[in-house]
Amino acid sequence: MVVVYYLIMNLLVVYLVLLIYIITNIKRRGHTLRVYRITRKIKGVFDKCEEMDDYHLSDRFIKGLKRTVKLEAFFEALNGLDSNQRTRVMLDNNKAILRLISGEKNKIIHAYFAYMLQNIDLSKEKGDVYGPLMFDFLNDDSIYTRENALKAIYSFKNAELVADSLIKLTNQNISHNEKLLADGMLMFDGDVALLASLMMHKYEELLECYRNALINFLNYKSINDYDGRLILDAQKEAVSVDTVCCITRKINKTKSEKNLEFLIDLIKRFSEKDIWEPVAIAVTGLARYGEYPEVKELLKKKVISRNWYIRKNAATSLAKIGITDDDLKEIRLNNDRFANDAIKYAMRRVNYARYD
Amino acid sequence: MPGTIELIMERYVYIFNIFISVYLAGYTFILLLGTVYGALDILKRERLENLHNILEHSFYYPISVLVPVYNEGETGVMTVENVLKQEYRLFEVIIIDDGSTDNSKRLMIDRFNLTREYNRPIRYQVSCKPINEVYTGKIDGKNITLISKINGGCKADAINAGINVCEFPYFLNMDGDEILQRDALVKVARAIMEDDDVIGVGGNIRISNNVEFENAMPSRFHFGRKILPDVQTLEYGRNFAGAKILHNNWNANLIISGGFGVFKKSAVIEVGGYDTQSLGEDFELTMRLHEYYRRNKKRYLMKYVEDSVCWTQAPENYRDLRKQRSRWQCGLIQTIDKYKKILFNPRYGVIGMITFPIYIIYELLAPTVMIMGWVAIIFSILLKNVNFPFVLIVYLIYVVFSIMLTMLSYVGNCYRKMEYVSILDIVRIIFVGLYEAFICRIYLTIINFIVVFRMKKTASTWESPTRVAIKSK
Repeated sequence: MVVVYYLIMNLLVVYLVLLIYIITNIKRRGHTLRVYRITRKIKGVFDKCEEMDDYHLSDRFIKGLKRTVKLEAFFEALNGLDSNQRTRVMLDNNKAILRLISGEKNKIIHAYFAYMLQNIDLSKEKGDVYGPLMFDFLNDDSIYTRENALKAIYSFKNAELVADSLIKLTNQNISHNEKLLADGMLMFDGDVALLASLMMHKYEELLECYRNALINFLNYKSINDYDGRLILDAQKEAVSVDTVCCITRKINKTKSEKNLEFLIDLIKRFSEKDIWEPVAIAVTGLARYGEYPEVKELLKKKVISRNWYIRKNAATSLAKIGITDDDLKEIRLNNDRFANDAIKYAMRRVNYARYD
Repeated sequence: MPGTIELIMERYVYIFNIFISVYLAGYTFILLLGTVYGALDILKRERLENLHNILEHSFYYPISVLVPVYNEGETGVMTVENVLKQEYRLFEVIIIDDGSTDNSKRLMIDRFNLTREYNRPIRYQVSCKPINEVYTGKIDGKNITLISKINGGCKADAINAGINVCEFPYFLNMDGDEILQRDALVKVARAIMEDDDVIGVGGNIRISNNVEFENAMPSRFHFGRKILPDVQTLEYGRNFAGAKILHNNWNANLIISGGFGVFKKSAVIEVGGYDTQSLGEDFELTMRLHEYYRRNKKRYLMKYVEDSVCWTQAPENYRDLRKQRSRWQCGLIQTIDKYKKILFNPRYGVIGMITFPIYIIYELLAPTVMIMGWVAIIFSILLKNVNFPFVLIVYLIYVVFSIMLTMLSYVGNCYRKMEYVSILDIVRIIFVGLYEAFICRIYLTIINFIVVFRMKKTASTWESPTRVAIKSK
């Protein structure tokens, strides 16, 4: 029995080893050959159709792209062509390609095609031709298809399409990774102001992840036109702590009396609630407002906070503002060794070594 | 009386024969299941990656890379230099000099142009020996911090010190003699990005002895030059990867290796950091996280990312191999003893019911079972009850099976990297496989068996293995 068992096991493994051995050596040769053949095929079509200015690949060829290995080789072959040829292949054959890809049920192919589109350097016409398909792909439940489709949409440089896509996702209650969204929006190379305006128009309706991504986008692009509205939003009770943190980071960047008022109010509000994250961010922003006495007083209170991050950030802001011997004495009177350490360290970091 | 002894020996051999048949059938089944499942999973992931069904980012989730060094000298410097070559953009490096008695600290300060920081407040959130000095600097925009502390006598203490100093929400722990492959952090971050509940990610540890590196990527392999590292290369590929991928599917990986593991800092602090009393601190921490999160019914994931690779030095001689495996076995015994309440406890799900028992049966008890087998063979010879041709056939089939599994994992790897599999490599694998089956495995069985009786001594001594310079450009 034991011998038979092991023999069966052995045969199974031998079979697997042979299978992988053969596939490995064939796979490597096969891919190179496929790319070569497809390139030759496309170039052949170009040679034939030069005068007609219409470069149609055969239906049989396009249907063959249903196989992922062929689609991969097709993409590689396209990248080997010159820009004009590439554009012609993708645009003149768009109907057949669209028919093929939209009829395909495999989501892996959808994601791959979206990836191809964002990486093929075509003229801006590709957005008009392939935009609707990418818009449809957003319905896929695969996060990879969604992410690649969004990236393709950003690459079309069409602000309306980007805004519509994100709003569509919100309407369908589909969340997406907030960091990927913000990063994607930053990749957008079209009319940034128009995109911001379109998105802010629908701000109230957006799901939290899209809202936070939008605020981060405004922050990184230094668009300050909507600060007032964001401040109003941060004051609402229903708004999440994460969103308040995003807004506070945004407001920290610009100096104004209105923004200072917001930061002080926020610190008080969240300190009462014992929520530390927005407070730790807001005290960092106060470093810009050294000329206001109330700011220094507030920071002196926060430097003895029980929370490590609030204390650390308040100490850094105080050190940046500049601190007198009297201030130091006042802090030391609290007998808070951790606060003293934090302030000493922060001062050293901002070159106030004389107080050591 | 002789009749009674003979009867006892006969009974022993009879019972052992039945037991070993079931035991080995179970073992080979699990090994095969792990390897086949692992290979299929790798192929599936490979296909997804080739077709760009991935989330690709090179800067989200800031990660602190903790590199503990103890008399590591130039090797430690090389490790940090390779970490700095990462494609990932958002990370800091924390070097923990665990009271080195050589010039390791000075080498680090000079090489990375570090300056001393006075009075830096340190938040001791997990226990470690006091940190005396802190040095900081910057290379290519990456913050480097060197902390010098009183020697804690173990790696766990050094990593805990690093956790106290690091500023980012995730940390990666590694050894001072490793090469973190250039794309390792990108791939680890991808795993974190795919799910919010990820608290730990284990990477793939591979053997660097027979490899040359260029820009923190392997450039040349020299399979067949040094037999002992070769044996371990195949052993790592065969035994560890497949099983980890299988267990990964059930969120039941029992070890995130101390050689390359990424953890959510808050989760590790929540459970109290690394246990400085444990010899298998990585196994212990992973078990503690499983135990804590499952007991409190909190959602969590600990993942294994096969294609995120860190290259480590394997012992090149039997003396170092003995030290390493004794320590592993000792850590295994300590941790299994500590978490025995998990065993067959349905509250801990698949860990309590499947992976932990498998670990005990096929890891902890394996040396004992093998020794029992040798005793059975001796008894059978004494009883003149051995069918030698039959024994030989069974053993040969078993050896062939083991070699074929090794080959499966090897050709699987070649398939992924689109490398040709040469006939010469196949011959080498057969040779190394035979050497492993007839010499190494017997040696390791004896070592692991002896550890049980020398627990105290092994636990109280810590000897560093011999370091070999890694060829890196």
